[in-house]
This record gives sequence, structure tokens and C-alpha cells, in this order.
Amino acid sequence: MEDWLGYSPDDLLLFSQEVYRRLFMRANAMLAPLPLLTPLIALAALAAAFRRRRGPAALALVLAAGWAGVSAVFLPLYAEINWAVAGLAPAFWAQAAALCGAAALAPPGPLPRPRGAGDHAALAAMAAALLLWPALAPLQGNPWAAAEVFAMAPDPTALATLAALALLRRPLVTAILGLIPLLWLIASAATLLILGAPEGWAVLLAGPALYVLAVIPRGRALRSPPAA
Amino acid sequence: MPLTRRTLLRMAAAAVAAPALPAAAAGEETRVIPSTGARVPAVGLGTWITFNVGGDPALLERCTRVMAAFFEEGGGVIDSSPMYGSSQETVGHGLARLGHPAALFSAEKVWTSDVTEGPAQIARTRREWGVPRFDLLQVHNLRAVEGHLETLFAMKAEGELGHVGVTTSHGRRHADLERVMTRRPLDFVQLTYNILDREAEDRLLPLAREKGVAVIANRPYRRGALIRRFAGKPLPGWAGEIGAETWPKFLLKFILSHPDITAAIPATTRPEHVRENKAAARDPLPDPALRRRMAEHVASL
Repeated sequence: MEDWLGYSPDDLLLFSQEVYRRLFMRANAMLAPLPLLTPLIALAALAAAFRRRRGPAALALVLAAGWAGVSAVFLPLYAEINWAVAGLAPAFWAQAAALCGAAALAPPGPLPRPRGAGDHAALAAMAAALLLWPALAPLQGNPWAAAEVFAMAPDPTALATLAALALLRRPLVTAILGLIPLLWLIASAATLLILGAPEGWAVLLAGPALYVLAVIPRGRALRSPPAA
Repeated sequence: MPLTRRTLLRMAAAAVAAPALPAAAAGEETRVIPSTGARVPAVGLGTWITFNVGGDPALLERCTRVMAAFFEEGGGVIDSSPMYGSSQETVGHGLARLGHPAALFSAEKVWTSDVTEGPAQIARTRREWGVPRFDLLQVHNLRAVEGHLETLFAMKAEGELGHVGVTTSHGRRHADLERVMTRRPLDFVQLTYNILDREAEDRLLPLAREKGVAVIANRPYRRGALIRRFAGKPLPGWAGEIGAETWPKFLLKFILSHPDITAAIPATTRPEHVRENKAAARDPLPDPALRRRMAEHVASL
């Protein structure tokens, strides 16, 4: 233990930012052209969650598929350069399974219509996770092929999950389902900041903020009548 | 170095069993390893971070080109560790692609708190490199040092290992390192030494000279931070006298000009930087007076 106490965060850095960015290129290339579609599928599931009787269950299944995709495709690549990640796959698969369970147990009826600053903040966070996060790659001078997209990369998948949970307004459920995404985002933020990646600050702030938004009681809104 | 019984025994052992290193490239400066009499080029190759590229085909190819340039320029110490992610596999990949050049001085580390796990870890490392034995094995960051040193000295006695060493970095645990150097017949120590990190000059480097221990300098550029720090700042006018026309050569020449440094292990992802680093050892090196001026110039910036 005393060995690790003597290390600074910079000493624990195992890889370069270049190698890290190329992980996303490799993950995207493995399942191309699916990375072009996964954010759109998630957006469609979000829209359905507000309109369809089984919409929330469908959204939960899409989120579950996202965690499964990250666990199956990205984590093995990341584990090649970061031995600390090697043991995370069971947790990610458990998250996928838990979301599947939530889908199976979800009561029928769409999500409450968004109201208030909290819901709109969650919607904005969802949009950022699905649409803005992939654009960070070219904005930072990296190719589009290195874009971090939902279901291929863990950060936008975790952010989208917490944003969706914040719209649910069920604190106990979201406290459980949001724990693994929160812990991942905190760890990822630390990695990004050590690498010198500016989005680390966004991850560090957004993760806990969305988790708090998801678990604090914000009143149960009336459900809109189920769509025909 | 005083002629002690230990020194005589080491010289006899060196005469009988010193590993035959290949001749260095013409003009390349080599340094002697006191305990065995073997010689090694002054500029080696580190692999921390730069070689941790996983299975990325493009980056594996780039690392292989770095190694190819390294061997073309005379080869020498390639230093890695189980701690460095996939760097060991990257080295093994490059060695296989290059046909295991003879100009290799393989330096690895044992890095586990469990002493009983040491032999198995070393065996895995050897498989990653694809080599029959290592020229140097070091106890990484003095972790479980006493137990691992027993393992390494036993391996050396059996002819399974060329040299035994220990490492530290960032100026940490120098007191512990001094104790180990005093009590154990080490062949090598590896520590941080560069133009700003000079603590080792006070006690460790003189002790290494007294004990006949070879010294590898890690973090010669503080992972590139020194180069970035001084980039754009003027080199002194007299830098050309020693062929230090760039900051990396200036910084590396300072290290290599210390009489008790055997080798430095800069890491890089670019073959042209390998050649520049190697050139730093070939050109004239600063004498003590010029070293003082180099340190003063850096301090003034």
C-alpha cells in the first residue's frame, strides 16, 4: 500500500492521449456503420418513451444494449492498455442486465411530459450525450472516425443513462441503476484530466449533477394519457 | 574504485562468464558495466507509455520502426516492465519483426508485492519478449526488494540472467536505495537523473562508483516535460561546441557527461528522435566546467 501512496496521479498514467483516442477509432471500425446509427436509435427511443405505452421499456432496452455494446467492444480494447479496466466487464454487463430487468418491470405508460428546469436539464444532457459528444473528436482535431458515440463508448452511454434516469422521477430506482454510470464517469473524468483532455471537467461535473438530479425527489408528475 | 575482495571476485567472474555483447556501431560511445566488464551503448530506449499501444496495428508498426532505428544506430538497452501496460508485448512484437537483432541489451523488471509470484511473472515477461534470458532484471521501484533480489541472484548464479538491479524514479526512496546498494552486490541501479533532477549526485552516484554499480538514468526528459519547457528558449551560444544544437541533445549530453552514468533510456514514438538521441552520445560531451555552465544556463531561464 505504501508503494501506491507514494505515487502521484501522473505516475499512474499508463497510456498517451493518442492511444486512448485511437481506441474509439478501433471500436467504431469494428462495427461500422453501426456507430452512425446508435445515437439516432437512442433518440428515437427517447421520443417513444414520451409517446408510447411501452416507450419507457423500449428506452431501457436501448440503454441496456448500449452497455452491452460498450462491454463487448470497447472494454476489451481499453483493457489492452489499462490493466485497471480489465475487471469492469462484469459490472457493465450487470448494468445491462439491470436495465433489462427495469424494462421488464416497467409499468405501462409513457414518461411524464417534461416540466421544470430539472427535466429540461436532463433532456439537454441526453441531447449532448447523443449528439454533441461525437462532435468532440473533430472539434479537438481528431478524425470523425474517433468519435465517442452511444453504445460504442462508455462516457456518452453513461451520461445518456443518467439523463434518462433523471426523467424517470423514481429516486430509489435511479439511485440503484445510476450508481455504476456515476462511478464510471468519476473514474473516466480522472483519467481524462490526467491525460489533459478538457472534456474531463464536463464529465466530472455532469455525472454527479445528473445523478443528484435523478435521485432527489422532484414530485411525481401526472402521466399523459397513453398514446393509441 | 578500491581493489576489494569483492571486486577481485567480480573481475574473475567477468573474465569467465561475461556475456559477449555485439560490437557497437562505429563511433557509438559505449560504457563498461563494472561488475562484468561487458559494454553497453550509452543511449538506450525506454518504453514507459510510448510502447503501451495494445493491439493497435498502426501503432505497433510505428513502435517497430522506432526499434529498427534504434538498432540501426547501434542498439543497446531496451527497458520495460510489467507495469507498463502492453509495452512488453510491443517490444516482443518488434523484436520478432526485426529478427531479434544481436545489438539488444534486454532490461526488464519484476513488479509484484508477492515474492512467490516473481518467477512466474519473469517467465511471462520472457515469453512476451521471445528471448531465452534477460541481460538485466531489476526490482521495480524496490517493491518487495529483498525477496525478489534473492530470486534474481539465484537466477544469475544459474546462468539464467546476466545482471541484477533495482529501480526507483522521481527521486523517491533514495534512502532505501542507498541501503540496498550498500548491502547487496548489485550490478545495476536505475534512478531519475536529468539537468533538473540531480539529487542522485549527492550520495547515490558516488556510492555507485564506490561499489562498482552501473547506473541507468530514467526520465531524462521528465516524459518530455523538459523539452516542452525549454522549447522556444534560446540555447547558449557555446552549445554548438559540443554539438548540442537542439534542446533534447543539450539535455541528454548533460546526463551522459556525468562520469558515473552508464546509460540513459529516453522514450520516444519517433524514429528520428531515436537518431537524434543516439547522436547526443557520439558528439563531444561537456567537461565538468561546461556542465556547470549548462546547469547555470538552465537555471537562468
